[in-house]
Amino acid sequence: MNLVAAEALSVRYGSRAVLDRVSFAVPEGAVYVLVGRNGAGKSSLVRCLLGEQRPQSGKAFLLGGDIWRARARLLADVGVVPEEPDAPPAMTARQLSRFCSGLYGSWDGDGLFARLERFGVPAGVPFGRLSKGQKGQVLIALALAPSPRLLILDDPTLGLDPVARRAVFDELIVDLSERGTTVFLTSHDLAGVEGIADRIGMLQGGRLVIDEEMETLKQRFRRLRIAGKAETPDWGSDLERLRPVSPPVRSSWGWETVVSAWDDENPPGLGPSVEVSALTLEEIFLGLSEASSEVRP
Amino acid sequence: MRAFLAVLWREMAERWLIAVAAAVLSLVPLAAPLLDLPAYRGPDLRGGVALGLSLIVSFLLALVLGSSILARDLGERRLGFYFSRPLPGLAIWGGKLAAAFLMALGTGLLVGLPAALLGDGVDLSGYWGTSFSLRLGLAANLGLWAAALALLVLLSNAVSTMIRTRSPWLLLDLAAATLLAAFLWVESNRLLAAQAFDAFFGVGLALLIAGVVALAAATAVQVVRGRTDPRLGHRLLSLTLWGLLAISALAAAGFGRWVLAVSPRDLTHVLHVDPAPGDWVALSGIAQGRAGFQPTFLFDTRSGAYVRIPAANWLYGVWDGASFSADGRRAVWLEREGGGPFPLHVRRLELDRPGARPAAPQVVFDEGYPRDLVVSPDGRRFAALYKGRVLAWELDSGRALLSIPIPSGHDEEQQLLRFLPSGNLRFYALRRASLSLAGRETRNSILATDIDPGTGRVVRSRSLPVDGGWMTAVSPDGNRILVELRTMASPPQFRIADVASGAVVSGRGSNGTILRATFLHDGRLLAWSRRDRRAILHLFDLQGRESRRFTMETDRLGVGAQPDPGRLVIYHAPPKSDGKVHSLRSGVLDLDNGVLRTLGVGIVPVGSPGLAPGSLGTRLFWQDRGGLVEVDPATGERRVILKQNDSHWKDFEERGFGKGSLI
Repeated sequence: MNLVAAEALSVRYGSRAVLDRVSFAVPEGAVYVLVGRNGAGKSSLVRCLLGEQRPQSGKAFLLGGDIWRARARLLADVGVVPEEPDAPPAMTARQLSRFCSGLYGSWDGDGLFARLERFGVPAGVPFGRLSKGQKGQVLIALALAPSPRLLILDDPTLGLDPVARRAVFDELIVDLSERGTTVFLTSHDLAGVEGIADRIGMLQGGRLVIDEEMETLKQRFRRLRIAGKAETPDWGSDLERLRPVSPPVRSSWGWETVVSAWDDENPPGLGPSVEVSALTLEEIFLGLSEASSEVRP
Repeated sequence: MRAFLAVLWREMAERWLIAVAAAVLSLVPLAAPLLDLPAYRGPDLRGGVALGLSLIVSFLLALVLGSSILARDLGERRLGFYFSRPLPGLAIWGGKLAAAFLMALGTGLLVGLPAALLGDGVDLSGYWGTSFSLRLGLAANLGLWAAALALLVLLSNAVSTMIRTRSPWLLLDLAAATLLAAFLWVESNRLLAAQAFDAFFGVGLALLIAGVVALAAATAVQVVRGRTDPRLGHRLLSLTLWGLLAISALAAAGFGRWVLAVSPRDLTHVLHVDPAPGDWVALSGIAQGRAGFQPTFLFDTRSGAYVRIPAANWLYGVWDGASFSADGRRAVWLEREGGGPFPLHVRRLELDRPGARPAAPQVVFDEGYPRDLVVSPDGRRFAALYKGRVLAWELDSGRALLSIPIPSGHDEEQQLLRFLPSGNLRFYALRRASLSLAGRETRNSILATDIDPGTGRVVRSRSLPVDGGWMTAVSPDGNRILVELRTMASPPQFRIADVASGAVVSGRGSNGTILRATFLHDGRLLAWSRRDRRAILHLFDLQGRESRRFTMETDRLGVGAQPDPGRLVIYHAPPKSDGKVHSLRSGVLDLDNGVLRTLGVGIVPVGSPGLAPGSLGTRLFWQDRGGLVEVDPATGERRVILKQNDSHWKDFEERGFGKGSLI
C-alpha cells in the first residue's frame, strides 16, 4: 500500500506554475526524500500532501485517502514537522505535549520527554524562546510521539548546526528502525539523507525530474573525466548512449561530464583515457541542477 | 467537539494572564467610593464604575482578540500548527473565535462580579430615562451585550484578516464595502422618506443578523477551505462575505420596495380617511405582512387610482396626510428628501387629471415643520405658518407671494391659518392673559388678520376678547371661532367669537353640561352632552341660541357629516342588555323633526359635521373588520370601496370607536 501518493498535482501562483502534473507514490515502510532547489515547489507539494493547500488540478493521497476531503481523519496517523517552526510561541514543550495528546489515539509522552532530554531541549521553556534548532527538535519529538504510520518532514534540519542535524537524523534512523515508519522528507541536507533514503525524488522547475530507488539512482549516475589539455578529447563511441546530463566542460586539468545511464552490467565503450567514478547524492543533485535539460532514466 | 474544546481551552489557557488582570480590575470599582464625590451614593458609584469598566474592557478585548487570535496566526503563517494535526477546520475556526468571545465576555463579567456580589445596582433611569435598553431587563441586556461582543469578534477578525494578508482583494473589499454602504443608504432612505419606520428597523435588524451570519460563514469558509493559504483565505472570505451581504442587501432592498409598493387594496383595515371635496380621499391603514407599515394614499374612490404619499402622522393635533383645495382639484402634501426629517419638499397632484403624477413646485422647508399647510379654494395658491411667519406661494411655480411676521406675544400652539371663500388668507392667533408692568391684567384675545395673498397686503385685523380657553375649531366659512374653556372643577364651556361682527357669545346649553361641540358646514354649532344613560345633541343657531335638542337612549353616540343641510348622520349603540354590547349602527337624524332613520348596522361615518352637505365624505363609512363603503343616505345601499380584509379585527369596539369622540 502506498502511504503517500500524488496524482498529476498542479499548483499555479498566478501565471507561474509551481507544480506541473507531479505524480509519485511512497510505499509503506519506505523513506522517500524529495530534493530540489529553493523555489522548486517542495513546500507547495508538502502543503498539498498535508491538505493545507488545494492544488489547481490533481489529487494528493495520504494513507490511501484523499487528504483534501479527509484531512483531519487521515492526519490522526501522521506526524508532521513543518519547515518553519509554527507552534504557539507562548507554549512550552510540556504544554504542547498536553495539547497534542488529546488529539491522537495514542501518545507517548514519556518517549517525547526522553527524546527532548536526549536533544538537550528544556521542556518548560516557552517555544518562542527556544533556538531555531531546539524548536525543530521539539516539533520532531511532537511528530514522533503519537507513533504515526507516516512521518512528513519538510526540511527539518534547515538552519541547524551540523551536530543538531546529526542528532535529528540519528533520531530518525533509530525511530525508523524501531517502528518501520514510512517517511516523506524534503531536505537540502543531501549528505544527511543519503544514508536513510530508500527512494529519491527531485523537483526541478515544478516538475518531478527524478523519482526512483536511491540505489538505482546512484548506480546510473557516473562522472567521466579525461585528464590533459586535448582540444578534442576521445570519450569513445558510447557517450551519447550514456546520456550526459550536460555537455562536457573543460577545466584547468582536463574535461569532465556526468552521465545518467551508466550500467555496471553492460559497460560501455569508452576512450582509453576516460576515468569513471561514482557520485554522491549531492554531486548528482548539483550535476542535475546545473543542467537545464530534463533527465529521465 | 473534542477538537473544538481542545482548541478553545488551549487559546484560553495561553491567555490566563487576562483573567488575573480582570480580577485586579474588578477591585477598582470597590475603591471608587473613596473618591470624594458627594453627588453619588457609594453603591451607585461602585455599580456605575463596575458597569463602565466591564463594558470598556470586554469591548476592547473583543476587538483585540478578535483581530489577532486567528488572523495573526494566518498572517504569520502559524496556522499550520493546527492544520498539520487531526483538527477539523471548523474546530480551529470555532475554537479560536469562541475563545476570543468567551474571554471578552468572561472578563467583563469578572470585572463586575465583586460589585454585583455587594448588591450594587446601577440606577440609570435618571440618566437615560426609559430608554429601549433599560426596558429590556437584565437577561435581555446581557444577551444584547453578548451579541455585540460576538459581532465585534467576528468583525474584527474579518477586517484583520483582510488587512494582514496584504492581498489585492483588499481593494475589492473596500470597493464592496463602499458600494454596499451606498446601496443601503439609498434603500434605507427610501424607507425613511416614506416614514416606514417599522420596516426600516425590521429590515435593519434582519440585515444586522444577516451580517453576523455572513461574517461567521465567511470567516468559517476562509479557515475551512482556505486553510493556511492567506491569499486563498482572503479571497474566499471576501467572496463569501460580500456575496452573502449582497444577497442579504438585495433581499432587504427587495422587501423594502415590496413594502413601499403597497396599494390601497392591500390594506387590511383603514385607520384614517380624510375626504376631499371631490371623489378623492387621503387614507391610511395597515397592510398585513408589510412590517407594520401604515401607508397613506391619495385614493380616487371612483376609479381606484391612487398615489402613495408619505405616511401621515398626527402633528399638532392635525392629521398631516394632505391638504385639498375647496374645489377638490388639487392636493398638496410634504415629502422628505431622504432619511432625515428635513428638508421637506412640497408636492402637489392634479386630482382632476387622470394619470397625473405628483409634481414639485420647488418649495422647501429646510428645518422645522410648517403648520397649517392650506390650499386656496381655487387650488392656485397655498400657505403655511413657518418659523414665526405667514407664508404663501403660487402652487404651480412655487413663487413666494408673501412673508409676514406673526406679531409677538401670541401662543404658538394657538395659531391657525385658513383660506376664506374670497381667496384671502385669514390668520388666527390667541394671546394669553398677562399682567402688565402697570399692574393691569389683560384678557385673552384672538387676533384675526385677513391678508390678500396676491398683494401681500393686510386687508383687516381684528382683536376679539375672550375670557380664556383656547380655539378648538373654525367654521368652514372662517368667520366663527369656537373657544373652549375647560377647568378641572367644572364641565367645559364654549364661546363663539364672530370675526365679522366682533361679537362673542356664550354657547352654553340650558343644562350647562355640554361636553363637546363643533361647527356644521353652515356655521351652526352642534354640541352634545350626557345625562344619566341618555345622550343629548344640542343645535345652536348663528346667534348662539339653542334651537333644537335631540335626546337618545344610548351608551355611545357620535356624529358624522350632513348628507343635506337638514339632516345629520349619527352613529350609536343601543344600551347594553344582559351585559351584552350591541354593535354600532349609523342612522340619519332629521334636524327639523328629530326623526332618526337607521342606515345600517356595523358601519360608522367617516366624515365630520364641517363637510359640505352631499359631498363624498358625507357618504363614506367605515365597515366592521376594516372595510370602507359608500352608503346612499336615502336608500342605505352600499358600494364597497375597499373590502373588509381583516378577519382578526372583530368589531369597532377594538378600534376605539365609542371611547374617544363618542359620548
